Amino acid sequence: MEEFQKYNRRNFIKQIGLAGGALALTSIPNDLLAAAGQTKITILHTNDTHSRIDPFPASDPKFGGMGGVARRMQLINKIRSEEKNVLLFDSGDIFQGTPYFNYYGGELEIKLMSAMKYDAATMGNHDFDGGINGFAKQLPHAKFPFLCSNYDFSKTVLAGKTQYYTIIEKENIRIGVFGLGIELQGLVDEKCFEKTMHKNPLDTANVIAKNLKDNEKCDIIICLSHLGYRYDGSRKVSDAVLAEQSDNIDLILGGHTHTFLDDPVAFKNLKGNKVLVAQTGFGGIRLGRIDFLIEKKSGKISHKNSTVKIS
Amino acid sequence: MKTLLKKRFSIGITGIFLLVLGSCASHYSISDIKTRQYPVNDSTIAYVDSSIYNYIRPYHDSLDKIMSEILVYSEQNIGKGSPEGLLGNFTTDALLHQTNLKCDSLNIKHADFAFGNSGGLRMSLPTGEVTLGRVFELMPFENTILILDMNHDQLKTLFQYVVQRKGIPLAGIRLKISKTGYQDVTINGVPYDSTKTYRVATNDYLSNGGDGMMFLRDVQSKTDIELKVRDSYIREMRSINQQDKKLKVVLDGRVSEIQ
Repeated sequence: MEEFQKYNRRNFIKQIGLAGGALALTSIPNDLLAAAGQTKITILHTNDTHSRIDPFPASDPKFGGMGGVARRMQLINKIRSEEKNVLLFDSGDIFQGTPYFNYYGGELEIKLMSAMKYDAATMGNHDFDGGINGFAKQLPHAKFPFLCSNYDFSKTVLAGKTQYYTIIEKENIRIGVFGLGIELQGLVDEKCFEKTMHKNPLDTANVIAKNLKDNEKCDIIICLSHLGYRYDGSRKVSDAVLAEQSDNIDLILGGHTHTFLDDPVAFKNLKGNKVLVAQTGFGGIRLGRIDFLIEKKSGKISHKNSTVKIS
Repeated sequence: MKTLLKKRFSIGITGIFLLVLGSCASHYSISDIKTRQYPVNDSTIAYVDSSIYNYIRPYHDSLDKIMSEILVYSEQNIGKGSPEGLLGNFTTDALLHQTNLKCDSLNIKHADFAFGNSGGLRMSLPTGEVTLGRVFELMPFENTILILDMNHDQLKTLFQYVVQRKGIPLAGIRLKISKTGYQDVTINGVPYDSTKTYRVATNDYLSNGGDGMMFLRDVQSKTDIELKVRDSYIREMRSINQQDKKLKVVLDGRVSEIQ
């Protein structure tokens, strides 16, 4: 029986290999996957969108005409119409950067994310810029959870209003998602974050991820991180450090450092397993995409990712 | 095209081995598969559903009326630089100038010099029209200006910070920096006097210890002049424009590197 399945798999892969001249892996029809006992989970992600509702003005020397929420939404809608299991995440710094934030306090940013059907987001340091009350005021517009596992909000108005993690199920595949935030002291004015306590992101991540793996039986574990990609010559916990010092995370969707990673970077974790770190620059110029191909019986995963430039 | 076909075929073959191995391996593992980037330009997202714009339009239109105001015309692109940059020079000069105009109206002592933080300059300025919206993007934060009375110990730490950061936005002061130290500090053309307390204009973010400036928390006397940093830039630009001038910034060697 197993031999038979292997044989079929081989044929299936061969077909893809041959047809691959015209078909990217992302465009394998879902019914073909299903016939081979595989499921595709499509992860879309943004970070540091910084209140960029409109495209960058044409006069911008670097990003003229790029980005814009309307086009992002159109693109996301198109991908949703093509793919069965689409998840959409943001890694923080949703607020601050254009007058939309100064005038409306982040209301439109959050409303648009709800309209785009984001599944979850984490908080970046600039999401505290309107004060913790300013953020709390916009929360009712969010039809998705904010995942913050290493901020202790118990002595603030945000107490009980964020989650450590969430679990999303698609075709019996359990995807565990949690969020990590950066140290606020020295980065954000204390009058903005008030009595928020920051906990060590590395320790927190390993506890949460182990729980997602062992107790919650998650098949994929994703971290939404606003720690920053990498700090050379510093011991500060970054996504690069987290990836190497973790043991259960499969994918880190990063932010904060506005790093344009054309491709996610692969790291080896403590167990020697691969962890991918992705980040899409800033301002909504790009939409990141990572497709996990999952085989239910052996639990085998492969992935294919692409970054979509919105210009 | 042929090589592309070949490559994809070989990926397929690799896939077989990984899958065969995978069936007896741990619960699951991630195999490395080639990645691609999809550029999307106007032609790929040419049509945007009008219902999407309906979310944005009310906010956009009322904001646009305010933000499209042209404050000044710029002769050049104004961006950041190190140890000294055009954008750092303009913004700190504007901050110092407008601070001292405000001091006149408050009838308090002027600031001697000013400093800012490069990280707080979020967007460059383009050649041509500089709109109010652009200035909001350059300075999105609602920070206010404070004048700090700083003594020699605190100033030494500040100058050493300038060394460590290889220059920060400065106005009203000149100094030379090396890898390890600083020298030839002049303030308003006069050599630095270590016995004096200087009045220094900056923003409340730095004053509260932001960007690694924890030492500023120890400064005892701080005067809030109730002027936003952004408004100092806006006032400066409007004033240049009212004099029928264009915005022009130069590098004048206020911070220079020596061996």
